[in-house]
Amino acid sequence: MRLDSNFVFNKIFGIEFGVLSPRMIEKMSSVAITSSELYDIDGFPVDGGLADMRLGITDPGLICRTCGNTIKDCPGHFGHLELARPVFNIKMIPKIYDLLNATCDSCGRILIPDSILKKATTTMDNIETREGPLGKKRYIRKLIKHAKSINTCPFCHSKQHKVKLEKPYAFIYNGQKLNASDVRERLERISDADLQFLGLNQDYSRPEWMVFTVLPIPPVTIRPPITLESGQKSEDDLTHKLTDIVRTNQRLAENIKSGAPEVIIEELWDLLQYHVTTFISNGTAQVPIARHKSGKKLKTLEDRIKGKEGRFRGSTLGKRANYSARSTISPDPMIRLDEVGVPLQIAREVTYPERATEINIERLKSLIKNFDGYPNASYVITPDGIRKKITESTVQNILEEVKPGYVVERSMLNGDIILFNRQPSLHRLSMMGHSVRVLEGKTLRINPASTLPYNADFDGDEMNINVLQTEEALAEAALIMNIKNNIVSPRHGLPLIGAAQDYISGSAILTRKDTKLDKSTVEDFLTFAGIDTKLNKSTYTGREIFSMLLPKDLNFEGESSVYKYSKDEDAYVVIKNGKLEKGIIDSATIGKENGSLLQYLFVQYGGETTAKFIDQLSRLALITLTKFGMSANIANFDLPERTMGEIHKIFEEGNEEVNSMLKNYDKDVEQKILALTNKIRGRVRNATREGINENRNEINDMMTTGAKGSIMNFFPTAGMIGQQLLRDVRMSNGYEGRLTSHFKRNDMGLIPRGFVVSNYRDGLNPIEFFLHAGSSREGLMDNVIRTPVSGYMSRRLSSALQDLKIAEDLSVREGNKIVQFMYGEDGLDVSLSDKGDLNI
Amino acid sequence: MKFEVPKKYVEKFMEKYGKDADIDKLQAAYERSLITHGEDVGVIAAQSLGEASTQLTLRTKHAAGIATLNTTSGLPRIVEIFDAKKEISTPTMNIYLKEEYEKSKQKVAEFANRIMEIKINDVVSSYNMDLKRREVTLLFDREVMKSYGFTLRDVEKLLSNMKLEVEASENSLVIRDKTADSVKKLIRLRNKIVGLTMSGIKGINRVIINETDDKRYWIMTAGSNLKDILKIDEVDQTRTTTNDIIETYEVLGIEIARNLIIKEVSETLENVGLAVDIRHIMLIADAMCFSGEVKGINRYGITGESSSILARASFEVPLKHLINASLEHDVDEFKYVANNVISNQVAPVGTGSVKLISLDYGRKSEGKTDRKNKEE
Repeated sequence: MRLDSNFVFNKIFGIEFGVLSPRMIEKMSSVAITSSELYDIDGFPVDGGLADMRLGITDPGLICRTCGNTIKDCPGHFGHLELARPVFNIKMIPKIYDLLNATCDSCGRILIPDSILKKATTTMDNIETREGPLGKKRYIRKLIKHAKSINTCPFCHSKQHKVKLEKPYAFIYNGQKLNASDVRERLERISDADLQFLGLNQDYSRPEWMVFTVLPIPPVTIRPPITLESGQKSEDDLTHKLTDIVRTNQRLAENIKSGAPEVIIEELWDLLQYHVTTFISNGTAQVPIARHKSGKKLKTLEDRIKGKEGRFRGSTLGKRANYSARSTISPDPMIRLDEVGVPLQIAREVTYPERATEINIERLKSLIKNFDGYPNASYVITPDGIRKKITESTVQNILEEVKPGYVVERSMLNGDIILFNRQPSLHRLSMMGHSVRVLEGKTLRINPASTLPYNADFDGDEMNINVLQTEEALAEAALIMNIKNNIVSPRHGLPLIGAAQDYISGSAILTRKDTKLDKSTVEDFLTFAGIDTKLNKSTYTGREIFSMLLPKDLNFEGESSVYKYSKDEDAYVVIKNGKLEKGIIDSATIGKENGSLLQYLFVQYGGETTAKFIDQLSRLALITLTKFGMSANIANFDLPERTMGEIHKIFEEGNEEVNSMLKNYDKDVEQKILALTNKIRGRVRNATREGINENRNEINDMMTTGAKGSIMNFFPTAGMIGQQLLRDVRMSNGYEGRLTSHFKRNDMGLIPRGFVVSNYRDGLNPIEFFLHAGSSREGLMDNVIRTPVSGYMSRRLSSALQDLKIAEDLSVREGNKIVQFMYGEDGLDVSLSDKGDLNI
Repeated sequence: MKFEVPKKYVEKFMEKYGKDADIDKLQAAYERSLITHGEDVGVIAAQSLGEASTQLTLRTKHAAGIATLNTTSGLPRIVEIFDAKKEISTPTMNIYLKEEYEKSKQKVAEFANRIMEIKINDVVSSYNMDLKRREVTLLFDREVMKSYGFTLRDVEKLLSNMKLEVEASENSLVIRDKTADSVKKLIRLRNKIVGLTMSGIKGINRVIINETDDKRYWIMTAGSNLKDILKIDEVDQTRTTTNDIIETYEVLGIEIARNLIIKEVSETLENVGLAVDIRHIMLIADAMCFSGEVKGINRYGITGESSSILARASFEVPLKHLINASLEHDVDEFKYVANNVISNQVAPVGTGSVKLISLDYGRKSEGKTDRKNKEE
């Protein structure tokens, strides 16, 4: 058997599961293990040892004696070990237990009368067609349970003695221990005809195969020794365990041969059983755990398979990718929304295999010529699959050789489509297609408008790029996965990509009623934003400039954030035929997770138009801010004397009320006080809101436009912070009867129970500060606990629902089962419709 | 395939543009907004809820008022619903009475007192146990008993069908049981007696009367017993609900349980201000219910019944699934997502659910391989 790396493998259509029979184990074995030694004095593998060269090769340079391949191509081969006495497979014990009690102890037939069995065959088929294979399994489970309860064999009429299982693997029958040989004998007696009622199959899982007589020895390739720096070889845990098994088996065989006393044989047999058990599963209940000399637990077969780092979750569902890169991200508002700035270093290193054709061959040749510069090519692959590195010495030959049909691995170029991703990848928008823009510097650059779907910020976040290697992948990334086509989230139908903070402030300033610009400024603006139109007026309003970004046939109406706040008619957004007639463009129309205009544009005009709109708008907003300026200062938080007095009064009134409540003590008083503190907070908030000086107050502008912050941030800054809560009640624990030693014992008033009278601007006193920090810490802890809980829920959901997909008739199916007759009852795609509704 | 616009949208469209508006425009908009065939909607639903749940609060939060109940909310509630737990942490009912009763506060209050479960424990002030005489003495609180309208006779009657000797005095009962020959048995006897329901409906621990804007009264309860509540004459069966999904399934059936899942999940999300489209919640609810019984989203529920062995094995406890599969000679057909991902093949969802026959890098095309396999 020779494996070629260019071999065409067939598609896998399914996997059949079964139990290995001793004959099968011998048949697939390439060597019988006879020695517990690994290497001889010269360091060569011993013939018939556990490192036999017929089991596969782990050393470079050696050739496998079974397949003739080197380390690269040899897949490894099984061996086998003839066991001196049979042993149980620990994982089969529960089934063996079932079988022993469900079958007759003398004739081996299933303990169910023939009359029922005759009917059972047809019932089983009926159930299978009606309820599927799981239904059949349930029925078989019932049959077995029934058989286990029967005490007289319906066939040979002998009285049954039931077997008891003493964990982990001792079967007690009639007060005597059944050893593995006895059990195997009984299992052999079960007839093929009965197997179907026991959930077994004569060709794939004969019951006696559950007891090993021959042990398969895994190839060395799955347990390679590691050579330490000192030159010593350190064996894998599996090999350690296998050596134990082989050694014990040898001793057992010798003792049997020499006719040793039964006690000694029993003891060695038990030891062999123990080693085989821990070889399969090191951690079965009531079996001592096998350890290294150092006390470390041996990692055996089960440990390799299960868990997050196991074969399934760690190796086959999660794979490592080549052609990828990772770096810190930083913002760049000047690149397009769908671009990602890639450092030159990465662009040179990570390649894309471009197929040479008559059209592009000249271009590719020039890349090959420039192999040590940029843009360059680093490898060519001939049609025979030979990979050639381009170097100083080979470049001439390769240049002459390359012709259509060759594949050239070239560096990343501007405009290439790549995948961009940030972990944790919580939803599909955590990985989207971007086009490459090679830039200087060492960070990956990202347009700040597209940070929300990735949940990225720039405090040291790192992100990954994956360069696609096939045309199919490229096409999907360029179309389906492209960020431009994923502006609107499938979760709620709102745009996740859009303006935030400065961009909202900027566009709000631009679209104010009184914003007017002269021609030369407008020219600057439009150049910066990349808009190409003829100007024929000497002055323009900001709204006219904004209208230049809109499609000419756009009609839109909607509330702006400012309108929601102030009910100012002029702030209500009206766009007619691509002209912004009135209204302020702010977070309610263009903001992230908000923007109604963006959502409308995306649904009506598509991703391309929306992306272009966001790009141009953010630049327009930027230059507007640069031109007009915007700065906040501490005076923005000033509240008039009157308001401060009112806030003080609110607190005093509350305090008095609390005192009077405490005088007329009843059992609900604590709850009543809690409700009162909420009321105080609400009143302070309202008083603050009314007291804000709206004249030239940039903080207020930021709040009303939705650029940043809200009254919930403003009132504790300017007014009063209020009650600090711990687990949703007023703080009370600390010293006996009081929070800190600064208060009187058992004083349940406002301040002694964590009410903060100060505000952030004036500062908190030390006690307030301490209590406030206590309350904040609760939030941090909550977050730490929440993350794994919600992560596990996510995993369960996607595991359960991963196979649900839309069929051609828009029903939702899982395989051949129908889950919904019409997806979502109307078949609408959330991200393509109006937030899951159909409005035109 | 042509899909007709659902009625509700047609009606809305007619209302907006008049009866003789151009319906083709609506049809075009509808077709443009349709979901794409092959779309992996299960994963989208899972991600929509999973991503949103990272923003949910973990602990129960309740409004600071007096007349409210403490119900589980936020992430724990969502997890509880998706697990299809038999015993939910805070069962509660909203009981509405028939129109003739619900307007009178007095009648509603009377009703509320009637359904509230009162155990013997609630009227006992103290008790005594005597092992030597094998008897338990219960001392009753006269005042409380009176307020509930009970007499000692009622308690006696309740105990009469148990095989016990009961001796009544002024405000105490002496209960003798000859079989109670150990402290353990005596304590068990006492607990059994004290836990007996004197009146009301089992499981209804607390009742709170709420008022609507138009002066109608309804009852909120801690604890739930839908089956018995619905049997009562005054109860309006069309509006009375519980938040216990399994109970609803057992009493009213699978369709109602499905609707309750949708309602409870969307309300929980709404309370914390998270927007998740109802389609995703519906899909999860349907996946939990389409087999005819409510199944949780865990290894004992729908994940454990997935058709693909490798999908099950890759979720939790892999060895169990692999061993059962080999014993039963199962075949894992590679028609699902997990097993195709495992084997580095194109999964049959999305663009992978359609086939394009092309010459790929000079290798044999997939189409040919298919045919070859079939011939073999």
